[in-house]
Amino acid sequence: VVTEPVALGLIKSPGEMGADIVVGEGQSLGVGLQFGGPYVGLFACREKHVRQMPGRLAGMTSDAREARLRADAFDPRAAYPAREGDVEHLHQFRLCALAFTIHMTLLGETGLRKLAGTNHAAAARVARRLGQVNGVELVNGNYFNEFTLKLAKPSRQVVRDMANKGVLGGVSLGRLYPGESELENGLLIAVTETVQTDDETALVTALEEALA
Amino acid sequence: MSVNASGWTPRAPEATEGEAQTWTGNRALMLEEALIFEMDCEKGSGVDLEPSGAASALPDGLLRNRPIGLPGLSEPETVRHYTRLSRQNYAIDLGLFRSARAR
Repeated sequence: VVTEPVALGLIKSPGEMGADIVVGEGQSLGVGLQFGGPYVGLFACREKHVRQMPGRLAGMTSDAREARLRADAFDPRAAYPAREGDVEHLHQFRLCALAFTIHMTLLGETGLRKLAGTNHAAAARVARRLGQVNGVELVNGNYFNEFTLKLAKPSRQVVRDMANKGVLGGVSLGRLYPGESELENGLLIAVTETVQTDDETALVTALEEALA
Repeated sequence: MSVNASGWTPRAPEATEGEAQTWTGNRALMLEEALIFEMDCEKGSGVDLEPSGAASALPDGLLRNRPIGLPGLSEPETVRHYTRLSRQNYAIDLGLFRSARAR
């Protein structure tokens, strides 16, 4: 199962729904966009699979005096970096993981729940407004903070037209799946807690003008 | 003439019952820091977010109906926790450091 971690403040955990292995992208919690990376990957599994996990587990162990220690506790399948440049990559990842951890600590139980609710409410509001634009059809009935629109025109050109007016209006499915005629009018939109009412209005207006 | 005319020499008291325990659990620079899950702060949060309305585009059967299990530290508690942890790091500025390149 692949999940967006913010959604877990609102929906049941994948484990509760029966998943044995879950991965996700942690960028949305405390990690900047950074021109596309590096980000932090999330990887969880049931305890019975832990020896098959790649990499190493940082955690807690104890020393000879039974004192607690934080350490790389378990690394049966660790691949230590050997190639030139990998050291920096590993350290960048650790900084992302630290930023993610501190961000999660600041949010806590109530914060993550409210953040999830804010994301979903904003996405539902924007989906409703965009769905009322002429030439736009909302494809998804159920979603958390990302949904797909089907436009009356190929979405690659619509995204370019909106960008020319200073609005980055989503990801064109035509660009992600070139040659798939069913998807060339698809537009993927994500709405997070960072979106303000002015941003919503700018997006709706830009899409109306691009489809006119 | 002897340099130490009194004959006194410094001597540490003999340990009779294992190692001396401290009230905080700290041993010199070895700081004991509780896990955030062990801190008694379940209701707080380090951020101010407004409550939002009900989920409108998610099926009822998927909605969370039990706590996540995360603690709730305030902003100062979070800053102090991670600052204390940072003092436990071993780094190139404290001593010899083996580069991962040399493995």
